[in-house]
Amino acid sequence: MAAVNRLAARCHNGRSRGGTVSKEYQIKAAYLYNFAKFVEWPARASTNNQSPLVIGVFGQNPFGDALEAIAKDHKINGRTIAIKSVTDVTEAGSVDLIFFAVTEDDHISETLATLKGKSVLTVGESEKFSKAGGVIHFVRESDKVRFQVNTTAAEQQGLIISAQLLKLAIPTHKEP
Amino acid sequence: MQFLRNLPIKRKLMVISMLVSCVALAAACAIFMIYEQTVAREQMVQALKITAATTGANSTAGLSFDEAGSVRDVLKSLSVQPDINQAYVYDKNGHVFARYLRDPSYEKYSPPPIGATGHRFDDSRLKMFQPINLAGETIGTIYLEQDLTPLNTRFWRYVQMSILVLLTSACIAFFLSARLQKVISEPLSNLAATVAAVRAEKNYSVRAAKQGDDELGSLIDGFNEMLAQIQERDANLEHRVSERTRELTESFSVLNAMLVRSRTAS
Repeated sequence: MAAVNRLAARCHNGRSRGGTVSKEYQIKAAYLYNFAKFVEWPARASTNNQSPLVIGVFGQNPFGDALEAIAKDHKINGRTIAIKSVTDVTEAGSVDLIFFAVTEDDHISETLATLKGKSVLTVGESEKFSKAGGVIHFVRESDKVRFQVNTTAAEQQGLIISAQLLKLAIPTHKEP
Repeated sequence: MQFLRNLPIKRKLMVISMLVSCVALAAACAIFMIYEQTVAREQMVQALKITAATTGANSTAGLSFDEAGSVRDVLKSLSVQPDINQAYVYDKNGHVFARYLRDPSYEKYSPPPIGATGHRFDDSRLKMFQPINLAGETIGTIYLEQDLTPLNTRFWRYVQMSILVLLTSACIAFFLSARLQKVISEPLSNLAATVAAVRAEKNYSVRAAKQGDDELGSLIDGFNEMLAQIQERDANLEHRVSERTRELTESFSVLNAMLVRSRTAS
């Protein structure tokens, strides 16, 4: 639990406006930011080293202010972080990392299919998201937040995921 | 230098050459030893810096995703370096995140508080703090502690070797100087013996043997020349005495003859 508190303290800078966010989502927000440090994106025409790294949230934002708080205080390799609320699929293709809220589960397969090859790191937390071929999938293990990485999906997106991150991921069942 | 004054030249020469060679060699050994230690320490710091950087880099994911077990595994790989006594990884807030103890008996020591980045040597240990950076941000600190016993053992081996080298060289220098000092001391003692002989026997016909064309050679030449001059003066003196004697004898016989003649005439 101490670790959870530590993480919560790390990402919970200042008081949140719209009510308190559960510790779980504070941790997940911190993890989203940390994932970005262990992933290499292919060069895009629209982005360079100066443009901010965009983290999108598709659907209802479960993080409250946690993501904004992180974005305000941190940079990734000198790049600032921008948080964007995403409502449609075309918008989703223009961000670097996108989190799918459980609310979007209904059309997840179609959405992910449209994003294929667009170099977007997709992160989700539902079984459906995982089955539909999302790249990183949050998993709760007792009271710890852990994650699975779908390396095939990552390759399709042209993302290079650090071996260190893969080592920490819960192994996925190989699809036949 | 007072003690040297009354020693025979032979001893003086040996004492001087032994002293010079031993002091020079001791200085050389000391300089090499200091140099060796400095280089060894620098190399050690450099190697530990690399270890800290690699270990830190391998701990970034564990630190980021709160997997202390993974960082512990990374630290465990330090066991291939038997000189590393202990290692700590601290999180961003300075709390101990994971540790590695080579010897479980270190358990009783509390983790060192985070110090300034860099290294220091103290009580036979090399201690180093390095920040762990990820994507341009410091996310933790790594602390490594290396045992200096092998370095000190090496230093004492060096001291022993130096003493051995010094003793061996002193022996060689002793034999060499014992032989080489003769170049100076022998002509001098020859000269001294000749002087003693001339004085005792008043014999100016002896000559000191000359060995080389150095200052000693010209000293012996000068001495021999002086003997020759004395000899010559003596010979001249004798010659003049005998001449005078002969002249006197002649005049005496002439006088005698005149005496005889006058006596007969009268």
